Amino acid sequence: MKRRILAFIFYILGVIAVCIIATVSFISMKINPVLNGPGVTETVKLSNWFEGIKNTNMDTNVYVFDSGVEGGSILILGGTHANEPAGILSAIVMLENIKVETGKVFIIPYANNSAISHNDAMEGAPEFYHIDLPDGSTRDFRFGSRRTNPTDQWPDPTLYNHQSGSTLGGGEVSNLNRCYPGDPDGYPTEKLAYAIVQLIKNEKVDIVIDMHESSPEYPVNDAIVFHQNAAELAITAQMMLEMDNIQIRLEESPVNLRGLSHREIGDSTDAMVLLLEVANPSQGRLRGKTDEDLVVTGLDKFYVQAAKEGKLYAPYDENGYPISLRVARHITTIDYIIQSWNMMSEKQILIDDIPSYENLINDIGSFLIEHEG
Amino acid sequence: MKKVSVVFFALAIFFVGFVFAEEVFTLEQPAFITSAGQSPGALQMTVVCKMVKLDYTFEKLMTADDFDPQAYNCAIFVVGASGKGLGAAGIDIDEETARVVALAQKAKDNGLPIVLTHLEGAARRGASSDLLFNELSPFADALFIKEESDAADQMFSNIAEEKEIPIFFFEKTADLKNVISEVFGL
Ligand SMILES: [Zn+2]
Repeated sequence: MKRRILAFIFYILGVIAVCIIATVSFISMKINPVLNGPGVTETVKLSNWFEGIKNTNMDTNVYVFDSGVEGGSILILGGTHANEPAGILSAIVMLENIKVETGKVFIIPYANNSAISHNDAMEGAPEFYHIDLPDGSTRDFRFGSRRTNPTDQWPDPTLYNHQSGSTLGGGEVSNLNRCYPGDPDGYPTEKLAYAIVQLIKNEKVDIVIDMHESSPEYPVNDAIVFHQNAAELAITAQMMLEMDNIQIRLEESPVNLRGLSHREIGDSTDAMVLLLEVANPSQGRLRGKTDEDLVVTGLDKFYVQAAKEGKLYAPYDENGYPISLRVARHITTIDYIIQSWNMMSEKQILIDDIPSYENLINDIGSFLIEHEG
Repeated sequence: MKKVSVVFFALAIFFVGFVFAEEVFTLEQPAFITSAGQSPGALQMTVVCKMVKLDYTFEKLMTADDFDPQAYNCAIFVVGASGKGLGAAGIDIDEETARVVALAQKAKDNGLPIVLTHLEGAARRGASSDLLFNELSPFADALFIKEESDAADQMFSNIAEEKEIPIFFFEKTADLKNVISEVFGL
C-alpha cells in the first residue's frame, strides 16, 4: 500500500518536473537576447511607433544607426519568415559590423518576433543551428517558423479577407508578408505590419529591404523583387552584381498580389521597397532529412539530383548552398542597392565596414560577436 | 610613278571607307522602346538608356493605334515573356503577340528602323519568348543580344545570318551601354 502511494507521489513529481522544464524552455523561447554592435546608436522597441503591440510578443527590437549627418535612410528587415535564417543572420551580421557615416539605418533582425519563438515541428525543422567562431567557440541561433506563434494569435479564420479585397487562405493572417499594410485593430500580425509601416512613415524611410529565402525549385529565387517605384534601384544593383559575376533575377512586384511588403509598403508609403530571395534547400519540398546541417550547408542529395535533371532555378551542385553564401548574397545586394541609391539621390547613405562577399563566404564566423550562453 | 601610287592609295582608302560605311549600322534619337512579353527586361533597357543619356520614350503596352511614328527615329522591342508581367497587364501571350506585331508593322510602314533585343539571358528563353521573337524578326533591322541568351542554340545568330542583318552582342547588361553608345553615336 505504502509503496503504491510512494510510486504515485514520484509519478506526480515527475509530471510536475516535466511541466516546469517544458514551461521554462517554452518561455525562454519567447525572450530574444538584445544584440549590439559598434555602430548601434540606439536600440528601440517597434512599439515606439505603434503602442498597440506594446508588451506583446509581436514587439521587437529596432537597432538604429544614426550618423547625425543629414542624408537618406534605409530599413532592413530580417526574419519576416523566421524559418528563413539567412535573412535574420544577414541582419545580425550587418548590425554587428557596420558604422553609418551619413544618413540613418534601421535594422530589425526579427521582424516577426513571435515566429522565432516556435518552430515547425511537423516539418522536422531544427530548433537551433550554430556558426563556428574563429576562437573555437560557437554562436547559436534559433530556427523559427514562417508564421506567428499560435500562443500569440489563435485561432486564425478559415479565410483571410485582406483589406485590399483579396481573399487569402486563413493561415496567411499569421504570415507577416501577407498582412501589409497592416491594421491597427486587426489580428496581432496585422498590428505588427501596421507598426512597421508606421515606422517607415514617421521616420520618412527612403528604402525598405525585406530579406527572405526560397526553395530552389521555386522560380522566384536568387532574385530582387521590386516595387515599380524601385525599378531603377533594383536594375542598377543587378548590373553591379553582374559585374562581380553574381547572377540575380529581377522580378517586378505584380500589382494584383496583395498583402506583400513590396506591394503594400510601396503603395502606401514614399519608400522604395525591394524584397530579396536566395535559394535555400531547407525551405524546399524536395529535401530529405531536415536538420541543422542542412540549414548551414544547404547540401541535400535530392537537390543535387534535381539540379542534374534541370529542375531548379538556382545554380546548385555538390557544394550545396551554404548559409555563408546566402548571407554574402543578401549583404552584397544591399550594398549595391545603397550604392545605386547614392548614384541617383542627393540624400546619401554612407556605410563603413560592410563585410565583403568573399570574406563572408570564406569565414562568416569572423563577423559575429562572441556571446555567452 | 609616285603620283600613280598616291592616286591608287587615295582610291583604295575611298573604297575601303565606302565598304565600311555601308556596314556600319547607326540609329538616331529619339528612340521608342516597348516590351514584347512584359518581362523586366524592357525596364533594364530603359535604365541602360538613361545611363548613356539617350533620348527615349518607354511605353510597355503601346498599341499601334496610339503610336505616333512621326515622333521617333527608331523603335526598340525588348523581347522577354513573363507570365506574371502579362498577368499583371491582364493580357495573354496571343494578345501581346498581336499588339507588338501590329506596332512593328506600323513602325515599318512609316520607315522607322526596328531593333529587337533579348537581354535577360538563358533564364528568359522559353516557348513564349521565342514565339514573340520569331513573330517580330521579319521586321528587324538589327538585333541587340546578350551573349548568354544565344549561347545554347544560337537562335539569334541564325536569325541574323538568314536575314543578313547586323547583330550586336554584349556580355553583361551593363555592356549594352557600349552597344547603344556606338549605334547612336553618343
Ligand atoms: Zn519568406
